[in-house]
This record gives sequence, C-alpha cells and structure tokens, in this order.
Amino acid sequence: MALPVGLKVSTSLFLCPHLSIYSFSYLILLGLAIAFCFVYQLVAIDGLSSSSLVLFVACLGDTKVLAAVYGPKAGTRKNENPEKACIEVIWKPKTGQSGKLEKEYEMILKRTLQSICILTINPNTMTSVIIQVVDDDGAVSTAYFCHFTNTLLPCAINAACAALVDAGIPLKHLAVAICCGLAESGYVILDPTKLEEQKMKAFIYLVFPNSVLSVLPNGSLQKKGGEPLEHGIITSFTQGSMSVEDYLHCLERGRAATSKMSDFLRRSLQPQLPSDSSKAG
Amino acid sequence: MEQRLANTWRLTVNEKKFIETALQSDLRIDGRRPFDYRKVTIKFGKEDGSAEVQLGHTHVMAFVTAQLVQPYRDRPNEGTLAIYTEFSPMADPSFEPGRPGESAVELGRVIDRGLRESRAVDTESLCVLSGKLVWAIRVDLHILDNGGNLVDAANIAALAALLTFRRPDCSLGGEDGQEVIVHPPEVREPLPLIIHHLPIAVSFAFFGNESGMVIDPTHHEEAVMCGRMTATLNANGDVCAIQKAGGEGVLQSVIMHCLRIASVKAGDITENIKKAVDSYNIERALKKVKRHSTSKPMDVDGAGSNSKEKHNFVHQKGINTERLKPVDEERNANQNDNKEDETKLLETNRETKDEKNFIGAPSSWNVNS
Repeated sequence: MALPVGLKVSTSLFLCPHLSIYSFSYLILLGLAIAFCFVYQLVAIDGLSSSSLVLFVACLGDTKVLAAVYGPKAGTRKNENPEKACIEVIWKPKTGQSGKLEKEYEMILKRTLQSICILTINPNTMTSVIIQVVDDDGAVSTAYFCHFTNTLLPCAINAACAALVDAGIPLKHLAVAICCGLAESGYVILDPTKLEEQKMKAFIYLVFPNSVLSVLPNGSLQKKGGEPLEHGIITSFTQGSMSVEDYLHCLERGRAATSKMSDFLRRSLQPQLPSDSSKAG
Repeated sequence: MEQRLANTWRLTVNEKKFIETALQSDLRIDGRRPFDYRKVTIKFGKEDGSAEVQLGHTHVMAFVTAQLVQPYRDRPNEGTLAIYTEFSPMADPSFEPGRPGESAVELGRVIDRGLRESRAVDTESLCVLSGKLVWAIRVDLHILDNGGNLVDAANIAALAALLTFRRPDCSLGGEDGQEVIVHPPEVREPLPLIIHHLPIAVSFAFFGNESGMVIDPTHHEEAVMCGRMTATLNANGDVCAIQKAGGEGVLQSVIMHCLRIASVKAGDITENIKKAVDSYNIERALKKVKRHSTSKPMDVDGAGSNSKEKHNFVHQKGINTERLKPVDEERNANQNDNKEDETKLLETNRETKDEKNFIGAPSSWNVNS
C-alpha cells in the first residue's frame, strides 16, 4: 500500500558534512555526501482507529533506512505507565535474525523518541516505530562479533523523527542526529564512511534538539537565562575511549554541523503540512 | 496480542458485497480485467543481490548473502539455498514482530519449493571442498507493504536478487590443496550464481457464487475471496509447484484453465525480470570502467533545490576544482591541505563507486607529511 504520490514526494538534495575538521578551524563544507529523503505514503487501510501510517526513507550517503510509524493505537504494554503514551520501536536488520545489537538500537531509539514526543497528550496509547535497514554502507566488524555500521543509528533517528512528524504524532521539537569519529591524531570527522571508520579510535553519536531557533543564523540566537535550548543534547552514545577535550570538541563540531541538517529536515518536511489535510485515519 | 487483533483491518459487509457483485460482471475495483496483472517495478540496490519489487501497492525487498559452511551429510557435493521470510510490522498492523506466523511460513515454503526443489539454482556449482566447505546462499525477504498477493511479489524479488547476486571467487591453496582462499571483490571479480530457469509464481483467487476467479488479487479482494491457488511455472512451460491450501473446492477444468493462463503470465513476467536484470548488469559493467574523477565539492546552502540542479553544480565546481588541484600537489603540514586532500579522495571514492580505487585512500590519510 505504498503510494509514491507526486504531491507528497519531497526529494531534496541534502549535502551533509563528510570531511575531517581540525579543532581550530570552523566548518568548511567541501566534499559532501549526498543524502536524499523520499516520503512515501502508505495508504491507510484502517478505517476504524485513527492510525497514521507513514513511510519515510532517509539516506545519508550510502546508508539507507526506512522508517514507518503506526499509531497511536489503543492500549499500552503491560509494564508501561498507562498515564502516558508509549513508544515501541522495532528494528529490522537487513539480513539475519534480530539479536542483541538490534535490541540496543531499539532501546536507544525508544528513549530518544520518548524525550521528543509529548507523552501526556494521548495517555494509554502505543505508537509503533518500525525501522528497516535497506543499505548499510558495509559494516565494520569489531572484536565484539557484531557488525556495527556507524551511520545507521543517526540515519534511523533522523528517519524516525521525520516519520513521526509526517504521522502527526505531537512532538515537543524535532531531533537531528549525527555521528562523529575521532581519529588517533585528534582529528574529528563527522559522518564517517566505511573506510574512514577503520581509522577511527572512537565514535560518538549525538542527537540534538532541532527547534526553530537552532536554524536561525548566529546573530539572532536569543539566550533565555543561560544556555539556549538548542545547545542541549538529547542523546550521547559513545564507543571507544577519548579525552574529555576531544569529546567537547566533537560536541561543538557536531552541533555546528547539525544546524545545517536541521534546516534541511525542516525544509523537506514543511511542504507537506499545509497541502495535506489529513493522512490520519 | 489482543492489541494487534484489535487493530486488524476488517472490510465492511457493503464493501464485500460490492466486490463480489462487480466480479460477477467481470469488473474489478481497481479497474483491471480479471486476468490482468498489476504493474511490476523492479529496482536494485547498491550492492549485488538486493532487489526491491513493487507490484501495485505491494512492496517487497530481497537480499541475498552467501557464507561458507559445512554441507549436509547426505549431500556433500552440494551447496544450500535457504529462504527466510520476514513479515515486517511495517506492512500491516496485524503482522507481529518476532516469530513468523502461519502465512509467513507458507509464503516461504511456496517460494522455497519453486526455487530449490525445482533445481532452478544450481547447487552443485556451489561446492568448494567436497564434504567440507560449500556455499550456503541465504535469501532474506522483507515484506514492506501488504497490498495483496505477497507470494508473487516476493517470488519476483527473490529471483531478481538471485540473478544479480555475485558470490566471492575462491580457490584452493595451501600445502595439500585443502585450504580455501576467498578472494575479495577488489582482487578477483565475484561470480554470478548459475540459474537454470526462472520459476514464476502466479496466484489466483476464487470467489463463490459464480463470480469466477481473478489473477493477482489485491488486499481487498483477498479479504473477500473464498479460496486461492498459486501455480509456479517457468517460461518453458514446466509446472514447478502448485499450492492450493484449503478454501473452496473448484472443478478440474477450472484448474487446467488457470494453469494455461499462468503459463502465459509467467512468460511475460520472465521477460520483465530479464530486462530489468540486463539493464542492471550493463550499468554495473559501466561502473567498473575506471573513469577520471571530477571532484565536486558541493555547497550545502543550495540544498533547497531538487535533484535536477545537481547536474548544474558541475559548473560551480569547476572553479573549486581548480582551487583544489594545485593545493593537492603541495605536501606540507598545513591543515587545509589535509582537508582538501581528504576531500578529493572522498570525492574520488564517491565518484567512481568502485572499491578498486580505494586502495590508495587509507595510506594518504597519513597526516604527518
């Protein structure tokens, strides 16, 4: 029931930073990987409940992930708080059975999405987010017997966030995710490819809030008593060891880069809102 | 579990009656005639052995991977082919994650019988060391969207993926010739699988009250139908498998009629698949040709434009390219150079999309020049 409708397809060229950056210099955006975002609409088969079905494809370079959102559906799982809405994440790997790595991804995604959704609006409901990995740009096999590709998780978070927006699930703000790789020499590389991954000693996954203020140019940032909201971090997930300075450098670089990504995400989601009256139900 | 059942979509009685009545006059709700197939679109992924098929609203993806394993004891000279079906909850709210349900298992078995038991894929060529190591081919089918007739779509996806899959070349080496060396794709060109014929599954739906039968039922028609039959045939007219699991009884003459129609449809679909695979192979061969890279640094602020403008970027980049090249030649410890070197290499990597050119890349990462 997927329907790539001319109205709803938003193909935007997204160029994300794909380059080594040393700590002093500011972001020089040369050499960028192309990311496309396609939106398909699953035809709503469910006439009874108000399920919103949305399929969102996010590609970051060669990594491609599909995200679909079903919900809100009635009833939560047994252990969940019925006073709040619940989010369920199902991660489907490209080949093979779901294992521990997939469970870990599901957990990270669930907690990240829970912090951006307004859970008090629809109590005692469940929203399912299903992630399907289509292309993972090769994998880095580590010593832990698990293939871990480093742009998968940020790609999935971006896709899931966009799918939630398209489905109309109430959100506090958007989220934008990025992966930073740290080389031995102290270089920070954003969004590393498969080859670059092999040279990294550590990785950091960061998810930043993507509110309107974060995409405004620097001059008009308004600080409300202390740090602005968009300097917060929703999720930080690290692999490997690094010094505190390196981590803080990565944070700054990542935040600077995500302002461009935030802009792109907003722009690609926007045309859908006014023209599309209701996909739900 | 109750939640899933509660979320199952049900057709109203009015809709059911409408579909049945329309079929009595040979009208289908999507405007097709009773023996018309929906449009089949076959797309291939970046890697070898991944295919995506769209049959109307039904959306299926197939991935093929291979691994070296020990063979079965009673078949020491043959490789294995295994089909795994995943009914993703994305496809339908009633699909549960976790263990495959009844229909998932049935789908897997029908495709398995068509492919493996009819010896479409040659398993003897998958043997590396008799009795010790053989290639095990694994086909993962992901159902992404349920628009009806999953079997046919999944079958086409599996075939397309198997036809474009390339397994690594391996040779025997070592002192006693017992060691197997698997060559990476950069060193030796990977080999395609040997596929003798293409078994195509064609599904029929039977309706009671003299409504007759239709081919390629949609989701709505599947909810109304009384019985279904899947016939797997190849273009040579061989019947590879027939699956009619319960449902309404039909006359023998009807079954024979179905088989005749199915053989015609199988021929059409085979043509379709072969055309798509051929164009993919041509593209793949073109990619292997090493071309002189044109570095394309791109401006992120132009990111509001649609993909047509991508081609216009080349003009802008001409200037940037000139700037990069002379810098490339100097090898000092200036940070800018390293950035731009990296850029040039990254762009080269992206341009050619061929791992043969990557061999130089890691070494030039050396920052302390």
